[in-house]
Amino acid sequence: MKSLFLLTLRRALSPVRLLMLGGLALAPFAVTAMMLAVEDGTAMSDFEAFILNAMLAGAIIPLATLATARAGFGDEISDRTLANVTLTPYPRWKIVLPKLLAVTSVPGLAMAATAGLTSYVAYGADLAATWAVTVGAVAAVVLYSSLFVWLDLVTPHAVGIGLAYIVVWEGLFSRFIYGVRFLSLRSHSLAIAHGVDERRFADEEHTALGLSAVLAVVLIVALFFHATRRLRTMDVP
Amino acid sequence: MSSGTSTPVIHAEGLSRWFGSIVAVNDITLDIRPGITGLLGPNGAGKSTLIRMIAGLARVSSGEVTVFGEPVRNNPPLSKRMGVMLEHETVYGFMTGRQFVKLMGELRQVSPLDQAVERAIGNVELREAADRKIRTYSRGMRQRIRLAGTLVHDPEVLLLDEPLNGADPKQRIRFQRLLKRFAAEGRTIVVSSHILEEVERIADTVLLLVNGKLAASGDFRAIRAALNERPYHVLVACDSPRTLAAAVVQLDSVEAVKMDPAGRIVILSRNVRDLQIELPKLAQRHSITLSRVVPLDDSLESVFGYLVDGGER
Repeated sequence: MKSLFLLTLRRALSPVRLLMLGGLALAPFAVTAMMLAVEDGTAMSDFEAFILNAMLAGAIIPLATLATARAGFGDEISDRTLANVTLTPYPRWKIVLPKLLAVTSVPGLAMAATAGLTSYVAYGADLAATWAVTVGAVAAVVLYSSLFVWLDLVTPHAVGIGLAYIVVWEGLFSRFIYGVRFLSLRSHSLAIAHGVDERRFADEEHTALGLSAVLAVVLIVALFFHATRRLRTMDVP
Repeated sequence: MSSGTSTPVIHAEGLSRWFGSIVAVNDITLDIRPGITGLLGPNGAGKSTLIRMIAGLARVSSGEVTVFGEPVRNNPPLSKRMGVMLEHETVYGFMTGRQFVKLMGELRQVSPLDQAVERAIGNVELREAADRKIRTYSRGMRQRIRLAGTLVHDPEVLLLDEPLNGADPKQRIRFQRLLKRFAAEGRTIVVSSHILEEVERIADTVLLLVNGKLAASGDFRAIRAALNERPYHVLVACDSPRTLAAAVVQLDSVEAVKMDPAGRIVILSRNVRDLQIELPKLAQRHSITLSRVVPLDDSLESVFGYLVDGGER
C-alpha cells in the first residue's frame, strides 16, 4: 500500500499539477488581500459569500481536486499503466485506498493552507474562525476527491463531466435551486465549517451539521465501495 | 484442442469477446501446457484481447478461462503466479529502471526484494543502465526493463504480448535464449507476435488466430509444412525478361511463369525457398541483371488466408 501511495503521490506532484495547484491556492489569498486593501471595512458576510463560498468552496477546491484526482486512476487509464497495479495480489480496496489518500493529501494540504491563511488575515487573526474555515476546506477536498477518483473509474470523460458538474451543479443549481443543497458538496463543507464555528457562514444557505456529516460519510463510503467494485469489474486497458 | 501431453495450465472454453457489433475473439477453445506457445496472427486478429482475457484484465463476453484451474477474473492471488507484459509501454518515465523493477516487486509482495530485483535486471542484461531514468532508454531497453518487471516475482506463467517490438537482432537472440531457459524450467509461456519467423524461432507450439478465430494450432513444423505447400507469386524485373522466363520455367520449384504488361515476370512457385536460392544463380549464369524481386502475396494476412481457406477446402 505504501508503494501505491508513493507512486500516486509522485504523479499528483507533477510540475504541471503543482503549478496549477499553486496558482489556484494563491488566488483566494490574493483577492482577499486586494479587497482588504481597497475597502475600508469589508463585510464578513461578503467575504464569506464571495471568497470562501463562491470562490474557494465552489470553484478553487473542486478544480484543484479534479486536477489531482486524475493522478489516482485517470492518468493510469490514459497511459495504460493501470495493469501494473491491478495485476497484484492486493484486494482491490487496498489499491483504491492509498490512491485516494494520496490524491486527497496534495490538494488537502494546499487548500488547508490557503483557507487557513486567507481566513486568518480576513478574520483578523480569529483562530476559531480560521480553524472552522480550514476544517471546512479539508472536508470539501475529501468529498470532491472521492467523487472525482470514482468518476475517473466510471467514465473516460471524467474531466469534462467534472468541469460541467462544478459549473452547473455546484455553481448554479446548488446556489439557486432550493433542495439541491442536500446534494451539494459545497453546501456540506460550509455546514461543517459552520458547525465548527457557528458565527461563520451564518447567512449562507446550508444544511444542518449533523445531516451534512452523515451525508458526507455516506457519500465517501458509497463512492469508495463503488470505486472498488468498479476496479474489480472493469476492463483494464 | 491441445498440445503435448502434460496437464494444461491455461484452459479456455468457448471464449468470446465482442465490443458492440465487433467480434474480437470468437468461440476459442484451447489448452496451453508448460513450454513456449506462440500466439500468431495478423494485426487485429484478437491476440491482445485473448492475452488480456487470459490475464484477467478483460471481461469475457461468453465462455470461460482458467489458469491452474482457477478463474482469472477477480482473483488477485493468482497474479503472484503470473507475469504479464502487455503490448503497450507500461513504464514510468520518471523512475529509474531499478526503481521500476523494485516497484513491480513490491506490488507483487516479493521477498527478499533486492535479490529478486537484481536477478530480474540481470536476466534482461540491463545492469549498467539500471540506474538511469527510463525516459532516457531506447525502445528496446524499455521493453527489456518491462520484461524485468514481469519476471521479478518469478512467475510460473508468462503472458507476453509482442515482447520483441523494438528489439534489435542481438536482443532478439538473447530474448529467445532466455525464454527457452524459462521453458526448460517448466514454466508456461505464451508469446504473441505477428511475425511468423519470430514465433518459429521461439515456440514449439503455435496458435494461429485469424479474425478472432483459432485458424490452426499445434506443432509448428506441421503448420510450416502446410505453409510451404502454398503457391507464391513472385514478381521479377530484369534486363532480359524473356531469356530469364525461358530459363526459370525449367526449375522444379516453378509451376508457371507469365509476363505482365510492363514486361516483368510473374513466377508461380510452390517452393519459394528453393526459388530464392536458384533464381540468383540462374540470372548469373545467363548474365542477367535482376533489378527487382518482390513476393506479391507474402503478407502474413495472405498466409493466414491461405491456411483458413485451405482448411475449408
